[in-house]
Amino acid sequence: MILARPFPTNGRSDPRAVSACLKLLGLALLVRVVSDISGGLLLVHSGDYFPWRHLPGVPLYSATWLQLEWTLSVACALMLLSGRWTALALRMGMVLALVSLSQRFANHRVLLFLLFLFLSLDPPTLKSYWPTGPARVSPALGLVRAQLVIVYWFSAANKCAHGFLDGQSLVHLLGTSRDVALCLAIAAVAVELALPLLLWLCPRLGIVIALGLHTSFAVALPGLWTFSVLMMSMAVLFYPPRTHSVGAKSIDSDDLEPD
Amino acid sequence: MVDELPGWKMFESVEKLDYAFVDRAGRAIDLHEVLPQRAHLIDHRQLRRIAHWYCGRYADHGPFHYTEGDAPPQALVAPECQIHDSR
Repeated sequence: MILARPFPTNGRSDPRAVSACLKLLGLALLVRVVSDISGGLLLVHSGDYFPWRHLPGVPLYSATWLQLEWTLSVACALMLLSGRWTALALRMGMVLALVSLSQRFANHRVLLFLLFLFLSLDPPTLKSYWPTGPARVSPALGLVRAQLVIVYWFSAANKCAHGFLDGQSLVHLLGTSRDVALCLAIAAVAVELALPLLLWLCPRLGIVIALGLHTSFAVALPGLWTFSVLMMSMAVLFYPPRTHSVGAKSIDSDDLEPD
Repeated sequence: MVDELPGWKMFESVEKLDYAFVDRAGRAIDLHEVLPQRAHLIDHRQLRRIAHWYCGRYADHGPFHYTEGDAPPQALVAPECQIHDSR
């Protein structure tokens, strides 16, 4: 299974990393709901605001349905954060993310849906995964890691293809000087190209950089918190699985029987 | 230049938004006011769609005039509220 084995972890995932990934996924869902509420999305569904990023041809549902979507999303988030009923949370979250996407098309909503979809294919709920059990191979988690690489490399490719490297976009977006924007633009593309390799070759450092990078993105550009937490949830899955020591002999976790 | 690459476009091209949108009384309208907070407008195409929607939604304040940069103002009259790329 090539998707399960793209990285030096041999496709295995550390149970602590899987646990952190699911908790961050729950946090991302919660952040999205808080952001939607504080951003005044109810006014979009009541017709007072422009239907921002609404897909043509799909009916915009009422404010009541939106509040139901939020309530169920918060329930899913709490299940993931508490580590209980995670399979149910992942499948329900996948449906909710798809419904939400039909109302507002945005990168972070697409990413949220994809992560829930991948993880609901093989929900990591076995005791052997949780949180002190041995690492195991999961194609679903391999898909999540591959998705992170796709996001970084296609984002870098789009930036190169659309003239982002001249810095003008960041001048308009951040209001910085041209020189600062130029440096930031080159740095952003370089990091997007290098980070997947760093996560592959030196995962601990890669994870620290990914967490720092996405925190700074979210602080610099309000509205990016959901996307940033989602990227963090994927990055932690690169954490290398540990080996278990039995007496003086250190054995690989694949040698252990699951619970 | 590649026009379109699939997926994960994130602020790769952000235009400087230079526009004016005024109602019948000559009052300037900030189109960000009818967007959810923290929505990032990145090009004039989005602005024109919002101006078109505003003209229909608040038709009783119209007709409106929309200007982009140095281009001549365009009158938006409900119910059509037609608007063109004037740049």
